[in-house]
Amino acid sequence: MEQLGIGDLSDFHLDMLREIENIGMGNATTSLSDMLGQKIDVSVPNVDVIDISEVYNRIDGSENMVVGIIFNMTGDIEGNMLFILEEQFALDMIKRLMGVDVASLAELNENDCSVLQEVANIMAGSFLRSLSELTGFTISLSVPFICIDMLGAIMNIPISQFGMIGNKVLLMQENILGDHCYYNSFLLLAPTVESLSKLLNKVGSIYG
Amino acid sequence: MGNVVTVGISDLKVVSGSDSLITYALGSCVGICLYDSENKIAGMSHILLPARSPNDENLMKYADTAIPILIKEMVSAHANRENLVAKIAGGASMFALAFSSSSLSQIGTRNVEAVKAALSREKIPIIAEATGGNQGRTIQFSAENGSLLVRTVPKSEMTI
Repeated sequence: MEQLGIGDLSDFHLDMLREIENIGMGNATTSLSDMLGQKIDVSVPNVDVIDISEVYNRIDGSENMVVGIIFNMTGDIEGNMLFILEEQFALDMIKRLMGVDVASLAELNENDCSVLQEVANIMAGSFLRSLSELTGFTISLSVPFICIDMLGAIMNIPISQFGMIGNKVLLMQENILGDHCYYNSFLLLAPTVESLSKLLNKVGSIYG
Repeated sequence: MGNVVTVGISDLKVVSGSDSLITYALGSCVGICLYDSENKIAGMSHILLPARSPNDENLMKYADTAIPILIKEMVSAHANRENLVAKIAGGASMFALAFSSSSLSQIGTRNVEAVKAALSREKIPIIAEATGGNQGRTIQFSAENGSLLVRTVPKSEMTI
């Protein structure tokens, strides 16, 4: 099987990744809508390959405090899946699901964090289910791990993973659109290089 | 006020006089700051990983290969090699429990150890550090006086 590095990705590959992201996030937000009883939509997926040294120039507010929830993926596809929830999105989720107002991320308690982990869990689960249905791959998710800190510092984890195999980062993100609002929150799929190749070959054979 | 020069991930820069260096949101990454107080020359490197993988040409990404380059660039900028002292920050565990069995396990700690080993090989003393823990850090390093401002969230600042 052809081994593809992040730097080798063609427009065709990027289109396939956009498609995966689109289908996955479409399903994830449907689950979220069901849970909230409120329509949630996603923006057009943004899939980009950028130099490691340029990452912070390409994400808004690397110092902003956000919620990061990460899952390890194992099975046919290995790597990590990271959800970034911006402050307003996280606080709105707490309000809707728990009925309490929390003023800032600094004031979240353990209970609130569990709720956010559950939100991410449901979204990650349906994202991966759609990916499994599309590819026939079996993929398992770990329990969610949460970290509330600077966006850039949280992103160090997927960036380190990409850094072990090259000097490019694959950034996949979509913004979540609420009823009358817009959340700058996104999901980052960071497969290992072997898994990325496997995924692209598989999806390429479906769409090719 | 001088210029504030940004150092990206796997990047390094040298400034002097009234200028300063900044690198944002260090998580498991480590920022290495070298200073020559006599000549007011400051250098900063932002490393991502501890040790170079074979064949990777990006030497500024790794602790073991970036530090010798930083020293060379400072000497080219007329720093005195004998004067150099180091301050380091970063190397946090952002998701301590998530990576117990993967290549990302303890990556922050391993980065700090690799930085310390590389500085020790170069016989450069570490005079201050803000490393480990589980918080992201933005750091700003002044060529004027060698002070290192360490910023974390929720908003907190200290100078080391």
